[in-house]
Amino acid sequence: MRPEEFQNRVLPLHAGLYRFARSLLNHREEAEDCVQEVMTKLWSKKNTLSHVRDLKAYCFQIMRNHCLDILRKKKMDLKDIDTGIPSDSDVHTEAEMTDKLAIVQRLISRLPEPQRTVIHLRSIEAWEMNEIAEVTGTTVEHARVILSRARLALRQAYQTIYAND
Amino acid sequence: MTEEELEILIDKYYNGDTTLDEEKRLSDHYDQFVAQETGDANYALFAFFKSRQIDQPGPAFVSRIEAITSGQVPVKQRNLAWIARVAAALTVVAAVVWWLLPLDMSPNELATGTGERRSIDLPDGTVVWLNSNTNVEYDDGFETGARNMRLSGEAYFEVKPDHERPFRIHTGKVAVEVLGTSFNLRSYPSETDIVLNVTTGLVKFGSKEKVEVAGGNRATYNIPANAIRSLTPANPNATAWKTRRLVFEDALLGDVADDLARYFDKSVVIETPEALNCHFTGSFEKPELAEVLKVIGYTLNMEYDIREGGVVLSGQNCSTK
Repeated sequence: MRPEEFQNRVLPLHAGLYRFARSLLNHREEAEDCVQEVMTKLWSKKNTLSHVRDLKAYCFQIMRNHCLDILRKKKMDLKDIDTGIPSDSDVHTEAEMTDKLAIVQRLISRLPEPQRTVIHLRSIEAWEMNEIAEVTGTTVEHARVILSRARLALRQAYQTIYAND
Repeated sequence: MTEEELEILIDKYYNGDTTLDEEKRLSDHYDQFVAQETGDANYALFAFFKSRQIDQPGPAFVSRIEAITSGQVPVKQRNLAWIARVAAALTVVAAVVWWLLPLDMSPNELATGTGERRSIDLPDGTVVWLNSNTNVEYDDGFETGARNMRLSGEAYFEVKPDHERPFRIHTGKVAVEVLGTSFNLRSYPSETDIVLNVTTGLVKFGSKEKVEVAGGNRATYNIPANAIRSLTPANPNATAWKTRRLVFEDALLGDVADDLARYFDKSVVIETPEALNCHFTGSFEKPELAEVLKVIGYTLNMEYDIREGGVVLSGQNCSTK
């Protein structure tokens, strides 16, 4: 892929990649660093990118793997110090915690990973299911099942919080 | 949307069966009113998704990302090597020398067949266009180490400037070394000349005696004579194989025949020696042989014949028309 083609086709994905990383990591600055690292990685292998069938799905797949690596390392760190504190550091104060958007964010961060990826790409990026299946490496049907489970889990968890109030 | 419609859509939604359009309708529906009832999960979910859809990284971050493709080291890792790279990028002067050492190359090999043309992006950012029946190999570690390439055939190079790592092209026993420039190099095994047409930059060229070839000029190295045979203005049709454009400006018919022979890969013979001194002006986009010959025949009052083995042009009255 020529530099101009990279600038026209890969660089514009940076905002979407950033949102995706933020959803997976729940951290603005970490998400920005991830985009820089993933873009640098993609740039260094740009001469092979022309052969990629679905460039957008491919870039998001790389971002997903990158974020999962980071989460795996974090989990190990957390185990080491044995705290039960979730890593959603976007939520800073008690006041924000009561905000319903912050609650949804927190609930999403507690979903198992494939559910987080699928619900992000569907609800925030408005991708078709076949594109999402490319990123998760599942069949379209299975991606649909994951999506349905994630939505049901969110609704139930949200209603539970308010039922307890 | 009626209550009933909404209920059906919501059921579909939680089953994972809604289309993107239907999800947009739901989103718009919940966006229409501010739900006072915070216990409504649907409202909260759609409100959250909407808030994230417009989330963008800051402008400072965008320039950090753009720096990746401009050849700069991203801000986080800025160091002295970055300054050296910028200095190299500003160096337009390039040097070409003949290289006599054989090289060990690991085979990253690319080849084109008859009539096939393609461009390749090398790991260092250099772009190479390969003409028909051309073969190139380049080293592993091209990205950070020495830049060595072997060429048989014809290629057009746009070399990424890097004055710390010269770009070497080996053509059999001899090679070209450049720092960063663009040029066309033709070195088919069946031909006795190696022809360099420089588009941009300044190039040192030669074996025993070296000459400087500026952008817009051509140098021809004759292998049997082991010497530079001629230095002339660049042939505007040197890269016609890549641009699909043939341009002749007051060109000698003998030179026109040479360009046509190269472009169409056919022998082009001028049967009447007097006609070699005729001049021809004209340009062709995506030229077809029959079309070009028709125009030349009409302009120079010549006959032409397309045969199995090639083309024959004849006639001696070109100056009369």
